[in-house]
Amino acid sequence: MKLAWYTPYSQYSAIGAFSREVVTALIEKGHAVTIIRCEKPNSCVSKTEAPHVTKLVNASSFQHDVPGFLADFDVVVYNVGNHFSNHYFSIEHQRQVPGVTLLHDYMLHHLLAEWCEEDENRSYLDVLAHEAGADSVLAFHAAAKNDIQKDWYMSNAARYPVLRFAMANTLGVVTHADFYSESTRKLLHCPVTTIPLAYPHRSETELETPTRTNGKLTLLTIGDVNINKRCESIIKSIASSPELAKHWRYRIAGRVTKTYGAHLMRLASEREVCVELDLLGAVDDAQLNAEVAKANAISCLRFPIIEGASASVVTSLASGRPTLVSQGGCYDEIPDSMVFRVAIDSELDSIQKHLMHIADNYEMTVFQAAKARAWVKKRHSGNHYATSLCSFLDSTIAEFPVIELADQIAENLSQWNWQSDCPVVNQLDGVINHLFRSTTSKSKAGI
Amino acid sequence: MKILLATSTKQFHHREIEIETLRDQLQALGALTDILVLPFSMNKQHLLSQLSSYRMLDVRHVGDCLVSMSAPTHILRHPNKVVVFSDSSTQLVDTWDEQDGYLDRQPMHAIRKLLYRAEQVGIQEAALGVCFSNLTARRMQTMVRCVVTDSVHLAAQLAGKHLKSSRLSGKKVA
Amino acid sequence: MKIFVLNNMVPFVRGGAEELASHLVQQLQEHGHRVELLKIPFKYDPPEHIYSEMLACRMMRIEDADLVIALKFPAYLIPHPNKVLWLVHQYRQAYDMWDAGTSNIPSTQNGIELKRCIAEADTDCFKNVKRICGISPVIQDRLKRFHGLESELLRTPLNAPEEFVEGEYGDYIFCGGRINQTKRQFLLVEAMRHTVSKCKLVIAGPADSPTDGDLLKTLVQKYGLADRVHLDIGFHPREKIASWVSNSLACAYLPIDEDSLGYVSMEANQAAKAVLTVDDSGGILDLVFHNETGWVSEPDPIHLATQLDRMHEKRAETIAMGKNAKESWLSMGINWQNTIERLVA
Repeated sequence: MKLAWYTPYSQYSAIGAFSREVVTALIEKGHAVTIIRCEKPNSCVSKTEAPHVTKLVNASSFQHDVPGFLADFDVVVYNVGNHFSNHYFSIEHQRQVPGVTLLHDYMLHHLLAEWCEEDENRSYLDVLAHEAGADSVLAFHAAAKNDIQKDWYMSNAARYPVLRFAMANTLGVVTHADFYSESTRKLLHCPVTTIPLAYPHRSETELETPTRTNGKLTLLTIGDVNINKRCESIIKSIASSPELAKHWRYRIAGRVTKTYGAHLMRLASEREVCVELDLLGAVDDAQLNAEVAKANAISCLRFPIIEGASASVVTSLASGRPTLVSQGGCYDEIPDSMVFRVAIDSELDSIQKHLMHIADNYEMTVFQAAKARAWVKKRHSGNHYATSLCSFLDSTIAEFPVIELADQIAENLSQWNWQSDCPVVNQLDGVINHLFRSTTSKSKAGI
Repeated sequence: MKILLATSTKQFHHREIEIETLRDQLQALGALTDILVLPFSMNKQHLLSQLSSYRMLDVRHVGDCLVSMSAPTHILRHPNKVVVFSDSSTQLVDTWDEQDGYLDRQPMHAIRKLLYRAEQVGIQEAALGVCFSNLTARRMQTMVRCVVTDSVHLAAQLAGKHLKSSRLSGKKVA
Repeated sequence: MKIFVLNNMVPFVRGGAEELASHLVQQLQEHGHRVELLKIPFKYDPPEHIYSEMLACRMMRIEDADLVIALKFPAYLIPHPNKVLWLVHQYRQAYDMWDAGTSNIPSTQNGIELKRCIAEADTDCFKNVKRICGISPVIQDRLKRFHGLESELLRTPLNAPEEFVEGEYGDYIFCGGRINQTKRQFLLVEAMRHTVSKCKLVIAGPADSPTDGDLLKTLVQKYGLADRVHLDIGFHPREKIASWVSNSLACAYLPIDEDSLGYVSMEANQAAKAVLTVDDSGGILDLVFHNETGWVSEPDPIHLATQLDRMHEKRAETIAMGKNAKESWLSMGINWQNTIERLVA
């Protein structure tokens, strides 16, 4: 197959790393893939570039004739996540040339907000009302009275997923966990399949079990820092127990704003018990590998769980480190024996209990984590992803003319302001199914 | 007997029999006739949509017989449909292959497959398939149950007892 | 130029619009164009079937045409970037006939929605065509009233004017065209009962239904008019109709609110025959001016009988009025040469 693969491709992009992993596997299977960088031109996310694994083109270079350029490919694959600058052309070009979408997040509210800022004719609340109903707008206004980030984007918005504005014309969607497949199917009315996220295993060989540093174990959180990653809860948990503070130090490897960083540092030091906290800021691949190697355990907590899958958790499990995860979402697909689950309603207690258990039984928990490494390496491999994706692409390509036909008809109906419950819709559905989807049968035309 | 002849406007007929000639001959044999002429474009973007549009037209209760004179009017619905394969380009997929050859791009292949499937639905529900040569008959295999020599013969088949007997006996081509 | 003419068809039924389409094709060909006539089947009963007919037209595609001339709903919904509407018919049941309570679309929620959908599709189509010409002021008014659109007036010419000649002025009044309740031939028979002169009436044409034909036969028998009213019900070749028109004293045509001038009255005028009509016949009134080119009566048998007697008794005046009518008709310049020039302009 000849594939165009839209993805962010900076050194810091987890989706870029995912793409390298899968594209490499696809090429090994004999497919021709061109990577198309989809970040917004001149944005900070477009300034670095990860190592090439195949031909790479910037989407902005063929902006004048998108259909013409993409006509050479059998199918276009668009990676889409909840960050507008990262996925700028994945959204813009998908409107012109439908393809298969790899959906990395369960909802796209941040993406929507930024997408609306691009054009004064777009309205966040209009899209919200259109896709999630009038209740969602009431919920938004209620949240907006307090802290919009905390009470909406990082919490309640998860109850009202929005997708159509970004990918209404998609031919099919790949999710990375079952928990958001059904809502995706309902919103987009297209084929949806679930394939576990592929992610590079940072070490092919087993990492050594690190010793304690100054008698302390190291807990690590990876990725851009925000309230969703529950760093505050980790700090509060450790700070509330002198015993834990004696056992654990906490390092965060990821970009953090000055204000939020200061807030976390203050939180770590203002209590009776101080927490040894290190904020490392943005790290490159080498630094990240070193941090993972030094860590004794990794926290992959999230609330709400808006990601379709967690690259951090794959990294953590593959490293053989005991791993803390939140309860729910994509994390529920990991067997119980391989992670330490933290429920949101007893978050601080759960964190304390697990950290104490890991500290007291460190060798045993490392032994258990080794089993998780084998499991994750197989389940989240590029090869596994590429095999499943190819099968989905084959079926999507076979189905795509029919989906395109349905889109053409929907466009006609909308031009005429006809309602979707108009009697002709059912009739057309029957005609399309009979002509293009039924196995040929000797039915009678008069019936 | 009321016979509705159906044809489409497209540029690729090689040996289309004159529909007006057939109409005149049918009228001479006492049949009441009318001709349906539908537009058609081979633009790939609109192929499936056009086939669907043909299917949505309702001529099921019109006349005693519908004679499809050219692809894709064999998609039309009628309980007593006769499909005439007038030459080697009997179906749209033939025209597709003739015009484009085999296109290696998978989406094109997907459209071709769907086109073929839809045409099979239309053809297989016909009461009778008619063509003008044994060569075409062999190619269309069991779809053809009657080979005629010319439009006079065809008119006789349609208007007369031959139509009924062909339908009953399912006369096979040697 | 490669031109497609778009028309609907109800299979095995042929009327004025079908005649018009055939002649338009023939005339375009005579003017050197390559022409194809598309005939799209249209089934408007039950009304909800109209949805699929409209959408089917919207989904069709025309290839390789320089110009498309569309005549009727819903065939005019077939898309083309260079489309001229020569409007014979919108779906009146969704417009004036709905308002008049004579629509086949029910006054239910579903019916109201269907009516809205027809109007939406029409509006979208009309805004995307190159030009809109209406065949009569009535059609123009309807477009203005329901869509706020201006249009050009381009009346339909006679299909074969050379066949309608000024023949003998015989002793009968001729009434041609399809026979049905809306053409009101029965009113003429009723009027004949009240005439005092020895005027004669010939009614010839195909009946829309056996009931329509039987009604006339019954009336003629009932009133004992067999010696003065001749019925020839059925489809007749144009030559026969032309002969009846050409050799009549005058013609009569009483449709209810007809959109156009009416072929029957145009053929009469072409053959220098004055026309008797009534004041609610619509477009005919643009051709028939009372006491100049014909007579405009009230639509009741008594008034009509008075006119029929006058036509018969003042024969010279009737013939003179016929000659006036021809002059007036020809001065309108409604002929194929002008029509083709305007359509392809």
